[in-house]
Amino acid sequence: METETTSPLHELEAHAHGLAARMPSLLVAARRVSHTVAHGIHGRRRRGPGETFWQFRHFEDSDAAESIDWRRSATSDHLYVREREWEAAHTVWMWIDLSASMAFRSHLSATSKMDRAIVLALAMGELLMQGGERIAFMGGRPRAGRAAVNKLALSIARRAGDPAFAQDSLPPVTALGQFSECLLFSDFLEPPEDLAPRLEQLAVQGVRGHLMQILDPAEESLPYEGRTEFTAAEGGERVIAGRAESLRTRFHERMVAHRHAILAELKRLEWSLLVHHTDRPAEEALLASHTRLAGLEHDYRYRPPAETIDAGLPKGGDA
Amino acid sequence: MMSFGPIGFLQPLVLGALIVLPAIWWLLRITPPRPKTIVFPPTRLLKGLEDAEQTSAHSPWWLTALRIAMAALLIFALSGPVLHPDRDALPGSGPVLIVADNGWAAASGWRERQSLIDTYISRAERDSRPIILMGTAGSRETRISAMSPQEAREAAASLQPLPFNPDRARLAEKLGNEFKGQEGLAAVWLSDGLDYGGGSEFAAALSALAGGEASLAIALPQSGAGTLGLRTAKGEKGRLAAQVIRSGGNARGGTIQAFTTRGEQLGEVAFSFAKGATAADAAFELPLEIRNQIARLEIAGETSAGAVHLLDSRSRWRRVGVISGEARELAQPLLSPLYYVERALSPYTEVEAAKGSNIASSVEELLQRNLSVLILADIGKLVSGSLESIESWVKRGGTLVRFAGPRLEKNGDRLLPAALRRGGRTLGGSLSWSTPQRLSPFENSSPFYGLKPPADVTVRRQVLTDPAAVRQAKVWARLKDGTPLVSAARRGDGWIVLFHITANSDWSSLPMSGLFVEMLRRITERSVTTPGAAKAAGRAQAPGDAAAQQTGLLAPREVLDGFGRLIAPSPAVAPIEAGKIDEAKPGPTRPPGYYGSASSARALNIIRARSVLEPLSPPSGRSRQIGYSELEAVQLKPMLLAAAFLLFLADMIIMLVFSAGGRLVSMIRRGAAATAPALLVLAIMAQSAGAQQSGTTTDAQALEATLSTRLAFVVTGDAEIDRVSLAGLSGLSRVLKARTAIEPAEPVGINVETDELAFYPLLYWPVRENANPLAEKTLAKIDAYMKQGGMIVFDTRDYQRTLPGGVGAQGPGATALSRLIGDLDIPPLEPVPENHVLTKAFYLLRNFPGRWDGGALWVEATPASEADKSARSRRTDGVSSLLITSNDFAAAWALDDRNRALFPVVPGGDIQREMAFRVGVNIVMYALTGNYKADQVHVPALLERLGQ
Repeated sequence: METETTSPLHELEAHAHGLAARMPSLLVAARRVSHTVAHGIHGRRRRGPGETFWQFRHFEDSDAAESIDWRRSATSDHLYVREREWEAAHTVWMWIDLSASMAFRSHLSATSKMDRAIVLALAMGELLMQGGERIAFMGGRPRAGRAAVNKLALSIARRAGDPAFAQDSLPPVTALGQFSECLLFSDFLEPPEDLAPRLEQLAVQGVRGHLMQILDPAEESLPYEGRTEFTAAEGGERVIAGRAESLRTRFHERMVAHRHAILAELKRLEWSLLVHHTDRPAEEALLASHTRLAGLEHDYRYRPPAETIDAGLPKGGDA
Repeated sequence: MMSFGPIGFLQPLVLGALIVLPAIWWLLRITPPRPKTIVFPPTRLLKGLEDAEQTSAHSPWWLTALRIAMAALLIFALSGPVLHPDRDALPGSGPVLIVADNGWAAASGWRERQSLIDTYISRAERDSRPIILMGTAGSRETRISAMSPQEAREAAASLQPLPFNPDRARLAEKLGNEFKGQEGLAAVWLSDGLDYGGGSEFAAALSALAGGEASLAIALPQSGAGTLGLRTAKGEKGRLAAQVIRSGGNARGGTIQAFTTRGEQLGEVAFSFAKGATAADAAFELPLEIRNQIARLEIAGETSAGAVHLLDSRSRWRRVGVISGEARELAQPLLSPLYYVERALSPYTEVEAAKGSNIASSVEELLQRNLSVLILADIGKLVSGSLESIESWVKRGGTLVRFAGPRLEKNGDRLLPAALRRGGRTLGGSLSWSTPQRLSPFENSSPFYGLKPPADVTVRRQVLTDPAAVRQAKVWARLKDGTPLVSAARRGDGWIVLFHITANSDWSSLPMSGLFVEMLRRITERSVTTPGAAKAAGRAQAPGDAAAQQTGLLAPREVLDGFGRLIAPSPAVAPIEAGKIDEAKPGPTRPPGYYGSASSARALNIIRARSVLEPLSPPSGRSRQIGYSELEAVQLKPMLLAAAFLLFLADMIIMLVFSAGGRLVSMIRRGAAATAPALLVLAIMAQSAGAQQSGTTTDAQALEATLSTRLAFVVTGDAEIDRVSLAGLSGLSRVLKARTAIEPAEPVGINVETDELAFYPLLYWPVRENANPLAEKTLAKIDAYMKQGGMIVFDTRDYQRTLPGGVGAQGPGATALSRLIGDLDIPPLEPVPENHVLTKAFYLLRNFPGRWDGGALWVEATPASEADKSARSRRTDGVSSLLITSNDFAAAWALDDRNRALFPVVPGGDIQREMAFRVGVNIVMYALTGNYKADQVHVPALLERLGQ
């Protein structure tokens, strides 16, 4: 019913921090480990620079004398070298739709969509940071450690104040590293045919993606009655409905069709989609995406739970 | 004009527009109301869904009904509906004859009459008919001519009630001659509700005009609002009895007010009529001295000449002392020398008889009692002490009446008009040829002129004036043979009158006749009420007296106009013969009022002792009766337009609410939530502030008021008066700045109810005519202000509206003032006495003019006792806390930006304006410096005490 500016970022950050504290530290179960040299805790199951013991092998001539493990060598006649497992950090890119449509908040919900998206993004960032992952806002530079979350928050703040970002409600096409993952927070209300090329351009870089569709409950149920003029938050589209209540069923049908169109595209890319409504607690979405990212499901890939989607109103959780 | 029942339409064709209402209904149905707007991100998904719904949206039915009603009201309003259109109609098609009673009885409802005349003129104007406007009491305008509406309005404005009975018969005759051949005449008679004889004949004459074709409407005053008349009579023991008469009607009441010649109110009594009663009595119970000052009675609220009763010297109540040379013979009262005198005097005077037989002590005792007339019966020679005291009393204005008798015959003293011949004269005795003498008619110069001596009065014996001294005395009455019967001489301011006969029937039959009563009455009436008091006045008026006595005519002095105000007589007013004033009836050349010289003016009143007010009973028949109100047909157009406009406003508000939708509701809700605590805080603050002080003055105001001296005036609420007050005080401030050491800042207007008064040394208070009484709290505040040294100048501003010459009622401002501060503890007041500090505070002043010149300036009376004096000087430095004037000071002081006067002064001249400013300067000096100037008189004594 009413749009409001988002809450001050520091409040959201505090909220996100609280959320993250209640989640186990997130370790992205990277199926395909990227070959970045960056230091991380994902064992590459091969020797390399790292801290965890990997194997002993016989000394070869090319080895430096300093690499000999004298404690092991002393137990036998051969010289042994201690090799460590190559440990690498996984990179997670995040993107939040900061356009005007995200500022929408109806009377059914306590927070705007953008607030919720930022909270979720920061909370995920916190969890990933605790897990040692490198995080970055899409288009920025990935970082690890405590500073990474602060940097993420700063990036969001900067972009939220930038009118260029307020216009664009589609994920940008940037160079992402291979085998990295991206988390996209948006309402994804753009036409699927506009969204698909962008996602494809990201996917061809070898990036695995998770879409978090954040919707206001009013955007599902159309709880308006009587003569009503609807105005789009961006683009200036307007529709005058004589009796808004009579549009409800057909609007819902269209909403479901729209989601199916997105799902179809994601299925092709082997990406996943979560639908979250702002009247539900944020923990619900955080837990779901945490589970999804940590690979606690056997297959990280998206399996369409056809019956939920067809029922029309997926409540939080995964769809 | 088309009419349905009591409603008619001036433009019935417009009603045809009502058939478009269904069209409007249809239009309104398909025009949707403004939708509520919602920002909705998935709007794109809604696109294309709405088309089926678009046209079915419509306004709620009640909104449509409201708009239809608005349109219907507009159509009805434009069709010019009129309620009771028949009231507005004038029958006939010829000229409109308006006959208005403009005698004295019409004065009290004169405004209603004028508005009714105006109504009829407007109607005639609407129908383009000529108008003839006539007053029944007759004006100098005797011409009957048809007038245009404009001329008729001018004539109506100049038509005034006249102070005598209307002469309807004369007018009827005149009209009858004029309108013989006229056709289609519409006549309306605005009657005053009284029948002066021939009322129904007049109505018949009016309806018989134009050959009996004329239609007649008679306007009658409402029952119970009829005319009142006032007359007086002497009651028992000198009470002033007033009687109010009327022609009948419902029960009603009122008050009669008594005023002095200077317009001061002396008393008030209530009267009340029972239903149907035609007379109501009321009496003033006042001490003799005060009662004799009453010059005018009037019925409060009735502005007509008949509701005013003028009193003259005849109605005063005098004290007469009687002393006889003989011991009173109670056993034979009829032979007592004073029996007839007392009987003759007692109905209209207070007779004081000597208590003892000691003449000397009786004289002393009686003279101390403020006698007007002293009657000595047969006292030959007064003892020397009494002689001197009586002589000095006479010289101060007393009237001494002596009767002859055996003692006087032998031996007179010097208190006689002329020396007497020793020994009397007997007429018709057994040894004489002569017969008892009768009286000759009274001469013009005699005060008894006009009385008719009865033929049966004879004189058998008399004393005679010494022929050598006969010229010293005036002879007021003579016998047929020319010898004096009553002679008189002036001594100082008083008179010595000698009856050459005894006071009883021994020497003549005069004391037993009615003439004797009248003669004594004339003598007492011309006596001075309080010897000594009217000394100056008596001297000044002496020539006039003489003139009146020579001609026997009483010249008009002041006459009443139709509204009961005393005005200077017009040249057309004729004098009245002195003897005929009692019988005279007021008429065009003889309006009621005062006739004669100032000292012995005679009053002529409309309502006389035997006047009866007869109700007018208009004949039934062709005439139509109307009231003075409810005559107008009511135009409904403005009301309907207003209703349509209200509906339009309601519609606007509804649309506003619709378009703002829930936002408005939530705004209101939020606003209420936010304002409730604020209101609570405000309420608490207001309460605590109220508990602290009644004068809510902020520090800033207080500083502004005190950092420089300011003159202040009381804001009356009347913008014009306040503007004049401000201009006046600022003009005075400029004068003060230029001439004195006082440098006042701009004056301020203050609200006596809320503002703090303590900052201002002087408060100028113009009194509004319709001022309301002040609240208890405000009065207490003003009282405190005055007692703590503040000074208030009340200006009733109504000197020009008090009656000319000062006779009669107070002005409207003075009435308002007494209403305003009547409950205040006001010290006794007096006009500024000689040598008062106000006359010398800065300039030396003699009188205190403002815009008007002549009204007195009243100040607190100087306390009589030393104790009071010192108490007051301790409290307020001897400064009067109150000044009251009627001269409108502020208007005289008012200057514009270029120091030009805003108002003319009356009678006028730069000297008066200069004097007005000097008065202002003196008042301000007086307020600021107190009795400093009064102290100057002690300077020599102080210097002496200091040894210099």
